[in-house]
Amino acid sequence: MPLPQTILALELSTARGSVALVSDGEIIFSADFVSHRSHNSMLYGPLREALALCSSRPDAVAVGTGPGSYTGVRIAIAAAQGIGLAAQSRIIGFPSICAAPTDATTYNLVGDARRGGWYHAQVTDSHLVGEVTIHSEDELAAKMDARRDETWITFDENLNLAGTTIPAVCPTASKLAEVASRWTASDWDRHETTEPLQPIYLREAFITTPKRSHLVVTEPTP
Amino acid sequence: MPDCILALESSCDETAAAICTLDGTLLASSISSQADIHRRYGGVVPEVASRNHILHVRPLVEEVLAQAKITLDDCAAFAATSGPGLVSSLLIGTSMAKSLAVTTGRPYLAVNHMEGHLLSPFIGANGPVRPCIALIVSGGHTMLVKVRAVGDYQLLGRTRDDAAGEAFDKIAKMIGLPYPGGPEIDKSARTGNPKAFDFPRSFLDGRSLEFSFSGLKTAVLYELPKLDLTQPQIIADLSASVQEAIVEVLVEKLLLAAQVHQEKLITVSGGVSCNAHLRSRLQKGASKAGLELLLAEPALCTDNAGMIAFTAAQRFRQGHTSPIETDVDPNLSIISS
Repeated sequence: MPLPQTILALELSTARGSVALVSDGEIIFSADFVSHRSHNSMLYGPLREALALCSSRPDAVAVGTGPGSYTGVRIAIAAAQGIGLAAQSRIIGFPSICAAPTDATTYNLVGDARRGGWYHAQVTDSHLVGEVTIHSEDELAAKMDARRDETWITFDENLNLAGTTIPAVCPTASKLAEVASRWTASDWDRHETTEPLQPIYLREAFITTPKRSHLVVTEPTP
Repeated sequence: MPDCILALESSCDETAAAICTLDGTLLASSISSQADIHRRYGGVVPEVASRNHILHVRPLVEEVLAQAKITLDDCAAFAATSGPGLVSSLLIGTSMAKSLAVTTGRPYLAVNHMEGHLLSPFIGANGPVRPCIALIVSGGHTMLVKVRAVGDYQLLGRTRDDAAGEAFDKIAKMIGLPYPGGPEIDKSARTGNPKAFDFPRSFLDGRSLEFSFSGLKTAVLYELPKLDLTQPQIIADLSASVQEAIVEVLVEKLLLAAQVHQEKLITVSGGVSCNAHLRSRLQKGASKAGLELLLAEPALCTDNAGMIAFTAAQRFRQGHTSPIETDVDPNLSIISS
């Protein structure tokens, strides 16, 4: 299969959503928007503009899969599925953490994993090293201390861990498209799976169950 | 010339896709149900529902295209349920439909889920949508609506507390029947005595078209400590008596609304309209009152995309489309649509 020349990228894993189009290695369109709850209404204007530049026929669609906002990532995946189906484009999911706009070749990314945990990932040359792992605050602080000479960044706003404010950046569709445009055939084969695309889930879904039903009536004691 | 509409429904725990022609003929409809997944939790878990919607939405679109033997080029527009429902679930169907619309350069239609239910009795009825009094009765809604034309609706009454389907589900849970409780009560009631328990019928002030089912739930709750719920006949009698109390109110109020508003056509839709006893009582009641009755086909009673495609086709023929920026609305009202 020939390498994709026109790649549309969607990145919605944080409040700053973005769309980019790369053609023959050059970014020819990029747009971003800030929205905490309305990616679904703000995505399609820029998307329409990007599609117009490639006659609605991108060779591939690259989607940032997080970790981050599950809802945002699912919007991006559903949109990519629609574009892929209509345009017969290849679709690939790519960890958003590998699309951080930083000059560092190797960096550590941390973020709030909710329920008292923090996630950590290490990225080298835009590739995830190992797995995304979950830690307690103390564990993460120890890890940061042991690797204090390395670059640490986060996608979260105002993140302070172990007395250190972590520099915040946002993943971008431009970076995603740029990384994908450098991929070799084997990189594409590795990222393109037959499994349905889904966000990087840090944990199982959180399900609350009632401790006891309030709908209980007992006979009064005589 | 494209003459079909492809629609998606993902407002709760069913992922569904369907295709109908612009004149409202349903060509294909498919549902991926999550009922078995949510049964273990005793109700729908929104995050679990969303995780499953994203896995099934594309295969369903491909499936209905194959079923209908058409391609996306044959679609004049794409539609999706935009509310009411669970936000994180609604976003998946709408995102897919919008991206199909944007990529093909065709229009997008945001469809009200309740309007889909409202018009579903007209699917396959071989004729246009006609003025009627409609009862929509499901797990989330119980409402009477006066339909003047597509898009011209007047709310006559709705539940003040629990929806009828919610009452079925909650009472089923109280008496130990599995989720979803409505179909289980329907099944269990077949061998029960509907007069075994004299549960209250809330008619409110007699001429009111509002509903209330919380009193029934409380009455059942106070009855339970006196009963041996290990006895299958007790469960059957309870089911039949509860069902009778709910069905009687639904039928009487629908007939009253038709009489007050002098309509000759009544329609019933929504998940609870699958209930066999309700369907039977409606047919008898309509016949006795000299009314025409249209019931949604059982396959179109629960959440499905066929009703969304049909509604979108009606709206599209009227010249309606939706801005691509239209967001989902978990509380979308049928009256404003």
